[in-house]
Order: sequence, then C-alpha cells, then structure tokens
Amino acid sequence: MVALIKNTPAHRYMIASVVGLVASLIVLAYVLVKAVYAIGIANAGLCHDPPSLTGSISQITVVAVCVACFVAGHAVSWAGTRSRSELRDKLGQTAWSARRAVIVVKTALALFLALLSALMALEALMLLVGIWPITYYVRCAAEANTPIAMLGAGIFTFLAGRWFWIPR
Amino acid sequence: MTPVTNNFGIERVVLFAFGAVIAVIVLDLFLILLGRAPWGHWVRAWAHRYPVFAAGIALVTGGLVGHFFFAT
Repeated sequence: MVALIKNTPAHRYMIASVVGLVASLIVLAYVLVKAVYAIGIANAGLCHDPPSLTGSISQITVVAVCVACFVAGHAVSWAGTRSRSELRDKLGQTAWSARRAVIVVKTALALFLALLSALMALEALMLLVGIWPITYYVRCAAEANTPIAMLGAGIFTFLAGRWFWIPR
Repeated sequence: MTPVTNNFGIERVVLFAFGAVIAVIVLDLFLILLGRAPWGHWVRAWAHRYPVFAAGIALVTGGLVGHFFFAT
C-alpha cells in the first residue's frame, strides 16, 4: 500500500481527495441514519406551525458557516488546480474532450436544473393550494435540529464553492 | 406544534438532501477507484467552459440557503 503512494503533488491531492470523500461519507451516513431514526420514533410534531426560523443556533451563525464553507470549497479547488494543471482546462479541451462524457455531464446538469425548476413550481403550487410548501419542511427540520440542518446547508455551499467558484 | 403526519415530509426532505450528496460522493469514489476522472472534475471543467451559468447556479444555491435559513 505504501509503495502505491507516489510522492507527487497530484498523487498527494488524489489521496487527500479519497480520504476526504470517505470521511464525508461516514459522517453523512451517520447523520442520515440518526436523523431518520429520530424522525421515525417521534410521537409528536417536530416544530411549530408555521416553523420558527429561530433554532438552537442563530440565523447569522448558520449563514456565516455557509459562507465559510463556500470559501473553503473554493480553497480546496484552488489547491487542486495548483497540483494538477489540467483541472484549469475547459470542458471540450484536452482531458475533458471525450464526447460521451461531455454529453453525460451536460445532460446531468440540464436535468439538475430541470429538477430545481420542477421543485420551485411544486413549491408555488403548494403555496397556492394552501398546503405546506417544501420550504416549511426544511425550516421545520432546521427548527427540530439546527446543527444537522446547518451541516446539510454547509455541504451544499461547500460543493458550490468547489465546483462553481473556479480558480483562475 | 405540527401534526405528527408532517414528520413524513421532513423525512423525505432529509433523505433527498443528504441522499443526493451521498450519491455524488459514492459516484466520485467509484470513478477514482476505477482510475477515471471523478464527477467533480467534470463539473469543474463545465464551470470553466460556462462561467456565467456556474455563477448562476452558485447564486441560486446561496439564494436557497438565505430563503431557508435567514429571515427577519
């Protein structure tokens, strides 16, 4: 195993990525099981109606953590491009020009945006009909367990910073 | 307090939000172990190619966080 680890920046970055991904996977799986279990055994509602925006952690702290995660995502991306110059290339260039993969990436992102649009349309419809919109479920989860909700929001903003705030 | 039936909706939101991230992580690990470029690198290449769209998605993400967690 030790012999497989080459002492080059690119390889060190790859090892760090794998370790980071495995650690994230373990933490997320634990949080998911814990949250679903807690919801499953609850005998009463988990929040007020409508949900309160004041959880166990202040709003400004949650937003500050999300901003920090966004910047951290960018920093990790910056570190990656320093050790692997091909990560600065655009889709369709050099290593990123495989036709099938390009189509898959573009299709996946288009589907993601379509899903986001559908969820927003559903949100509007739920508001119109007078039933709880998705926002209320998220806010209810945040009121019931703010640290876990903050962790989830932090992960999404970290990924946004890593993928979409690209280093020059 | 909310009726207990609402807990099912919260469970679905939690499963969707965390499940999506877990799926992305598993996909990335799978591709790395196969010796191929992980999904994240492809998305980054896409962002380099279309920086305005990438900025738009980042803004939507930030807007959603603000909408869900921040209100006066």
